[in-house]
Amino acid sequence: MTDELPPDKIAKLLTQSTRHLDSGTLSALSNARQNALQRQAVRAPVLTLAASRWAHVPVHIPTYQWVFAGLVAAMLVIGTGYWHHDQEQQITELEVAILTDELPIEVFVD
Amino acid sequence: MRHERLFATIPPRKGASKLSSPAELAQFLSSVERRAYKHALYAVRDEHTALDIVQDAMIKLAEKYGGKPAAELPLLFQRILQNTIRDHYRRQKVRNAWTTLFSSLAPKNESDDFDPLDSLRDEENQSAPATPDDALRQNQVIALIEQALVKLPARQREAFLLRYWEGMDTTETAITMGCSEGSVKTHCSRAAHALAVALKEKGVELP
Repeated sequence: MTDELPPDKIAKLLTQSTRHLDSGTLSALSNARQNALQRQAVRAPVLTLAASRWAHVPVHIPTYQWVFAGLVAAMLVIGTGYWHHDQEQQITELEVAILTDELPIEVFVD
Repeated sequence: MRHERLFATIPPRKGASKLSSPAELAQFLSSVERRAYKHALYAVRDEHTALDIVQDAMIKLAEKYGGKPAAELPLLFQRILQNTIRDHYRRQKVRNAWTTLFSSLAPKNESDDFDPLDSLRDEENQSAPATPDDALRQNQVIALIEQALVKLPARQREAFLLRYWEGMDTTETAITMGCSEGSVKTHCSRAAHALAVALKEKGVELP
């Protein structure tokens, strides 16, 4: 029967075949391995969370995330400044109107 | 890119919390490089291309996943290797589309230089044949098996080698191949059947 093929025996023979590779191939494989090992990702810790159970885990933040965080922070500062300036401007106009007794009719309606 | 999504699809193994050191990565690569070369060679049938593929796979593993836990490396490496082989197929397909405009493909005729073999006598110790005759017979059987493997459809060969040679279970093979477990079982069954038929035609019966 064709279904009686034992895959484990084929696997053993294939493993046996790997022991007979020629020296040139083995040398090339060794060189390939050395090349790969030289490029192994070295991950230096950038930021470490302290005083928690994650204290030993380095947190890696890519550059683009730093740029994005900077942009968000800048937008927050600008937005807050604009809102603050706008509030001051409205208060000043109201004070001037009160002092000059030129309040608009809407103030009394409400 | 495919490799960036690769790790997300591979479930962590038990005890896989320890990150791999350079020494562990070196040991792992050393342990798989020969089989990886054979995988690639069966797929592309060219020694230099197979070496290139293995080197590419090793570099991708080291660069992108070199810091992953050592227990994750076998599955990651096999998937990278199979993806690299498939990338080669795609590039070759594009190249062939152009070259066939100018020349016809030369079919590879498999030579049958030696007689079919009945079986291996040394049942107790297959890995170390007792006599030169046995060693010769074993090498001939291996050559026949390799010829039969090369003739298998790519997915069947991939499933068979991952499942039975790399010792992966069905789930791991399915993850590595990017298909369902049912497909893996089907591919393995068909591959085993096709191999058995091919070897029987050559008169080879494994003990």
